[in-house]
Amino acid sequence: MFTALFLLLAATSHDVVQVSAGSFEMGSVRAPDEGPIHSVDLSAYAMDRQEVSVAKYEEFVRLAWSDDHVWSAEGRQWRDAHPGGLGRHFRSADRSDDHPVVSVSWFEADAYCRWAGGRLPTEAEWERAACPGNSQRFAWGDDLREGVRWAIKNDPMGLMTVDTAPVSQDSNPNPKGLLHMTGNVWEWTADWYHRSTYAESSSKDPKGPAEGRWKTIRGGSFMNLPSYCTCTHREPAEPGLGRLTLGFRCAYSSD
Amino acid sequence: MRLFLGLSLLGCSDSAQTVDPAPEPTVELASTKVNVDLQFSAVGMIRIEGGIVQLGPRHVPSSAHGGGTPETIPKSKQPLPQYISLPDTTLPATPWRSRGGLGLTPRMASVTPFLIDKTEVTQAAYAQFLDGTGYRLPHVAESWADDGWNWNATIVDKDKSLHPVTMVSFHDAHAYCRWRGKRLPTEAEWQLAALGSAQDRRTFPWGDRYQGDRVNHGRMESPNFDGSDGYDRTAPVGSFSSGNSIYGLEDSFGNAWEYTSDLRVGDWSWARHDGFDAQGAMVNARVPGPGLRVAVRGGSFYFDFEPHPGGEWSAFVPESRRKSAGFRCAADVKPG
Repeated sequence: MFTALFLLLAATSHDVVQVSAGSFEMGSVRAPDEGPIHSVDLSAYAMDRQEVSVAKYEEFVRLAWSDDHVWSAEGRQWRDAHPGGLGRHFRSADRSDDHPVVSVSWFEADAYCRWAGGRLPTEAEWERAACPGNSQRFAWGDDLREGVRWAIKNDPMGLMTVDTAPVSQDSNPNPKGLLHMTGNVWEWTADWYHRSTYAESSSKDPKGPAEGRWKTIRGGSFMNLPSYCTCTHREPAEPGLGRLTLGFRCAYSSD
Repeated sequence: MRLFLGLSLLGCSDSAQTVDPAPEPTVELASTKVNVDLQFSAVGMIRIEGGIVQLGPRHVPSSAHGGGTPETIPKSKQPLPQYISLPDTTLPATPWRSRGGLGLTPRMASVTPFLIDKTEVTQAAYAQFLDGTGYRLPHVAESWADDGWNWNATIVDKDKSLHPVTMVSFHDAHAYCRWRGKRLPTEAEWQLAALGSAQDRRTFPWGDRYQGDRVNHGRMESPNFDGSDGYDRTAPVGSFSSGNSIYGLEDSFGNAWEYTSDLRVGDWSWARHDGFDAQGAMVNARVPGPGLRVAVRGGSFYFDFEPHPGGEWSAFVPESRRKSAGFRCAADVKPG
């Protein structure tokens, strides 16, 4: 019984999807920075099934904000310059705490994942988990569906709120059971952005450029057209800044 | 002149300063001190000494449509808008609720000296940024964007190199200006540079009346392109010098919409400023992020000013890339 309880607790605190070792075709022909399509071989890893919620993030802030061990050296500098976090007034953005946290910098997302025993996913890990079918456009397939948290007009005049869905509610999960990989909120990845990353990257567990000015964000958001919310779309974002459209989830190495 | 301007934007011509006829001595225009700074004209920037602007929906004179009704009240006799006194700001509970500022009441803002790019950022200048950083190309995976809008490389067509870059988001514009050691202008700065101060009472950069030959504009009817000004789409920056503002700012109206650094919210309670002046105007008003909409100004080649003389005032979502949206950068005046 204790074992069962332990497993239950473990399952609720880390609801992850296991991705076994293997290779996939990364990239697309849809945009210049999504090519060339190339074969990538990944070690096994796990990904959070859901985006990190406001509730979980605030728990991290309460318990571990001042714990230097979960922050990188750069992250500590950033934290000390931004007491309480970049978006402490905006993280919930007038939503209940089961919605994805937004307005967190890359440094904060990185620290949260370390605290949770993981790390931010690389671009390759994110893309393989998002679209196990390889050539599909969206997490569930190729078709434009109802109920996805994205924008169907280029300039949605009706957009007045941070129009996310709760992290646990997604009527269009991907085949692995991951929720909101495309749409809802952008997600930070571990990798620096460069538009020519794929021309030079390693085929085994690629980790992106060694340095850069912008981190890559993935997946699109409630503010973006479906063309931004694909499995392969890449966007640069300044690591010290947050957006009302940008959250994250964590990955976990499997050894 | 355009050639030398282009070279100076590329930063490779010291002769631009002596050849370009643009630099002028300080002159007094109405209530506004105009100073085209010689030092910064060489890098394509104008120094503006500051002034007071009225943010929000502006009074539009009945003669703005360019047709017959002459103004009956001398401009100097028209009452200035009332200053509205607001308490200093605290963060409201829900600043992200935004109607794009459409419900904003007019608000006076005082601007201190700053520098602003004389022209919109050109495709050649943006290509330098792309080459220098590996930043994302202006590209949208939509069929409309393949009609000559998308970039597939950093090499710019010769005939497009001095056109404004478009297909950029607010975030792209921010990244470019940072890379140049500059920043986006606040909406108040943009308005002062383009329309002069509140006392200047201009509806258009060149004056009060709409004149379609002074601006690269569009038209109401689909497909919205209008070639009557010489250009269906964007024009090389500086092609409409008769439409320059009193500071010599080029293409502030028309050609491309321009991002500012201000997010649009439903009221001014989220605005930050450095205090109030004696008349209650917010000094250096700015509406920082995050937000769901960003203030854009100036209209574009795709926009018809004639029925919307004050409608060059709008807001876009910060993440979209449009064929009509570009920007210019601003900078602080370095002390000493």
